[in-house]
Amino acid sequence: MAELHINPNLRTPKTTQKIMLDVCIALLPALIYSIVIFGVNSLLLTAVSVVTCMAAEGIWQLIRKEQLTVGDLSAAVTGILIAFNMSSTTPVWVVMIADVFAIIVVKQVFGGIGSNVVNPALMGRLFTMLVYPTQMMSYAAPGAVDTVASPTVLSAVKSGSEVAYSVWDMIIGNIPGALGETSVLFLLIGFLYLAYKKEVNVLAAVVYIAVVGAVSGILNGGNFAASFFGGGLFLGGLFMLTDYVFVSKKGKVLYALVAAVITILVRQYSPYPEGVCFGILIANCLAYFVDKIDKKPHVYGIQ
Amino acid sequence: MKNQDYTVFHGGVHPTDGSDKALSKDKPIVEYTPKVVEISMAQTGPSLCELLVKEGDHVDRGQLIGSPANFFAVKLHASVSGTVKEIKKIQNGAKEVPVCVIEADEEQPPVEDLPYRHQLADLSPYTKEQLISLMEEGGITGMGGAGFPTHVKYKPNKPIEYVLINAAECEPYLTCDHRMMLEYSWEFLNGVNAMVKAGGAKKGYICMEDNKQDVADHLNSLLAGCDVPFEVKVLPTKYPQGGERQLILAVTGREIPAGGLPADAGCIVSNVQSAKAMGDMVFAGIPSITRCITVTGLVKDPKNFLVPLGTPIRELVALAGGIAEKNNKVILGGPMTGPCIGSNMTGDDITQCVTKVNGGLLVLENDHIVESPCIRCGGCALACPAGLSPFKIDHAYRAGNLALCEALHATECIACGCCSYTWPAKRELTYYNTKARDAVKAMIRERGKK
Repeated sequence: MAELHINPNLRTPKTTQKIMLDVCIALLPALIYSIVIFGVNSLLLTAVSVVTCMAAEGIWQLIRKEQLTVGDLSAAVTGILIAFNMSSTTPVWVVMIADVFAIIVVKQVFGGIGSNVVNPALMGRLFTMLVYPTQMMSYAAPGAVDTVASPTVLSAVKSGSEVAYSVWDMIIGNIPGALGETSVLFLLIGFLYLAYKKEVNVLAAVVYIAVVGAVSGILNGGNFAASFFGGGLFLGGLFMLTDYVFVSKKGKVLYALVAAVITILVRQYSPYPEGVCFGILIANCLAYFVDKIDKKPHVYGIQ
Repeated sequence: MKNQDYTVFHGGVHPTDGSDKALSKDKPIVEYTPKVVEISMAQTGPSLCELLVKEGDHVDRGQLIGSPANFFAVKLHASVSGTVKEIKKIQNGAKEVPVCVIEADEEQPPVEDLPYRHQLADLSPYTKEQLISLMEEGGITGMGGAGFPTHVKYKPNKPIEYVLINAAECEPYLTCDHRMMLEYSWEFLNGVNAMVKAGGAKKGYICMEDNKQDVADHLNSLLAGCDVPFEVKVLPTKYPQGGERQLILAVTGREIPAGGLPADAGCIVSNVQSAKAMGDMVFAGIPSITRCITVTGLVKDPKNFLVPLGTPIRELVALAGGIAEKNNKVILGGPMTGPCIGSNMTGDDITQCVTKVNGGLLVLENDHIVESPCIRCGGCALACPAGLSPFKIDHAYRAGNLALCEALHATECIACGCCSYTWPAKRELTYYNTKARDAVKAMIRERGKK
């Protein structure tokens, strides 16, 4: 099979690496804005996270003598997303623990890229959130030099206190939160780039964000700005939900709805102010069943 | 099953931007007769003919030299007048195949200029049965690639409503059908007319992609005022528009039931060059002994040739200026389904000779594809014109789970190559899907025996 080429002899120029590189590019505007509002620590954490993820994957594959896939940059994407889900004030070692957990336990143990059941970045984040709640649950305020923790918009809404930020602040990202999640505007710019390249599942993202934003806005008493822009809804919906294959539009919508329902329930009825992480992870786990109820595409010639 | 949305089929890919066909689509057909032709008794993989001549015999152009030895073969005729110099044996898969080497006479008999080359010919003297027996006599076969005997297709046990002439030429790079229809228009149109009658169809369609609008306009202008039972149908350019099943779906809105033949959908599909050969056979008595072939890609001067069967392809490559890129791969046919015959070749390394099914010789830059894991993007399932999930079949096959392959309808794979084309992880999906298909079919046959 090595000597003669196997048909077809034309292949799309698209590769896994190019897709992952595009995702990295798409995340860049939000990263740059994060450096502007949260300081150079954002860049430092992101860089450390990317290097740790890629190293973890490479070392695992070298030890296990598996095909080396570090070059496909999927670990780099996981690294960026993990950092994006952390506060800029998170200790570096916590980020690294999340990285190693995500890559080794969530991704490689299940067979590596494409075989993982749940999103490694979110699982890594959840792991550290449970193990190091103090370090993880305090978020830096924009422009703050010290590490004084500020309540996020969603936790303010949940506790019934007043939200001190304008809608524009929330859209552009001048609010406390994880370093990559606050700027809806810059995340959207990146997402549009991926949509232009046809590398994302636009329908699922739109359904998820619309349903979560609208329903939790109604449930929290009408603060739609906070429910849409106050948390990690856009980062999750635009960049982390859109995994998994559903060929039919119905399948995509169904999957997005599962994630949305869980997100809303967590936001409303759990001690946590934000539920995006749980919503997506649980939908990941249920993807198999969603696929089962999804109507299969018509096979030619089969009635 | 009815499909509401005509002129489309599910999936498909757009592998190129048209620059590929532009290499040769405006190059007029060059007629060329080599000094020596080598006619294989196996014009396609499974077919085999029994050789009727021996060394030293003189043969006339059009003389029968091979009679069908199995179901897949059609009659084979000498493509030049000359002397049988040698009977070579070549290895074709597991079997040894005789190859008749004919040295052409200096002087070839001229080709008569008959009226059917310039106008619509009268079909009324021929009955349906006569036309079908002319197909058999003329060794007419599918000239698009698979090479199924045409006369067998025209004797189905089901009523035929449509004869579709497959002029899609959906494979990138190839332009031989395109040029043939432009330059041998009346031979072709008269052949189509004969085929529609032979099929007993109420209607014929010449189906082409919209990248051949010039051909459609030309044929329509020729047909203006003629009373013929067929018309030109222009379809969107999308690979594999020329896949038999996809073509039928696009034109008639019908699907061939699984395991069935086009006749089960009331259709017969024939290739452009088969139709041209039919015209020559019916109206001039010339059997299928020539074909048009495109030599293109990384050759200095891409060209279309009309040559006798058995023309050594290396001579055509030389006439096209030779291979222009050392780091190459050479493909017999189109890039999507044509087999690769070697890499880093020079023109003289090519030992193949033109058969009835060779549409092209394509030189592409060599590449090295490294498989990487599936990222579950779903692109292959969106591209699959059969509506399969190639990544699932690939997975199941590699895990040895043939029962799952069967449940996923692996048997319906048409080996078009769309899944491998579209997959960013560069896995050999088409390869493993066709293997899965063949394994499942074998399993079903075994089960039938028990």
